[in-house]
Amino acid sequence: MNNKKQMIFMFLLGPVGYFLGTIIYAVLGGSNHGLSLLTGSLSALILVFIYYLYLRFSHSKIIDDMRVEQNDEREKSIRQRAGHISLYLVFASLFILSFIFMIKGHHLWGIIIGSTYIILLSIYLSLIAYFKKTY
Amino acid sequence: MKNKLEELRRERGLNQEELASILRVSRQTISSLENGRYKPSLVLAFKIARFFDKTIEEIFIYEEEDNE
Repeated sequence: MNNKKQMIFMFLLGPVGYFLGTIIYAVLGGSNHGLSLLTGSLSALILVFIYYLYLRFSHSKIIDDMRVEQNDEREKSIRQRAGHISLYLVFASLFILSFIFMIKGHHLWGIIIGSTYIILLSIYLSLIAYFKKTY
Repeated sequence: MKNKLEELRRERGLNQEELASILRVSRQTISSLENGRYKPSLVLAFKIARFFDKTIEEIFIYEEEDNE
C-alpha cells in the first residue's frame, strides 16, 4: 500500500471502529444511546491509535511523510483558502436561514440562528483585530 | 513567477520526490513551484537558494504582474 492509501485507510478506520463499537455494544445487550455513542467513539479511537502505532513502528516513513505533508506550506495555504471560503459560506447560510425562519414565522429559530451568526461574526472580527495588533 | 528550479534540479540529477524530501516539503509543492503555479514563502525560497548554492534572485524571477 502506498502512503496515500495508508492515510486513507487510517481515516476510514475511524468510522469502521465506531460502527464496530456500537454493534458490539448492541450485541452485548446495551440499549443506552449515550453509552452506545461513547463505546463507538472509544473503539474508533482505539482502532485508529493501534493502527497509528503499527505504522509508527513498522512503517515510520509514512508517519514522517504525513508530518511533512501537514507542515507543507502549500498544503497550509490550500487549507487556509478552503477554510476562508467555507467560513464565508457558513456566514451566508446562517444569514439566509435566519431570514427564511423569520419570514416563515419561526421566530425562535430565526433569533437562535441570527444570534449564532452575530456571535460568529464578532469572534471573526475580534480575531482579525487581535492578529492585526500582534503581527 | 518564473524560476529555474526544474533546470537546477535536473542539473543535480534529482527527481521531484528527492528534492521534496531534502527540502521537507511535498512533491506536489515542488511540482507547483516548477510550473509557476505556487509562489514560495521567503523561508522556502531561502532553503532552495541555499541548497543550490545560489541567491534567491538567481533562481526566482520577479515580474511586475506577480504583484497583481
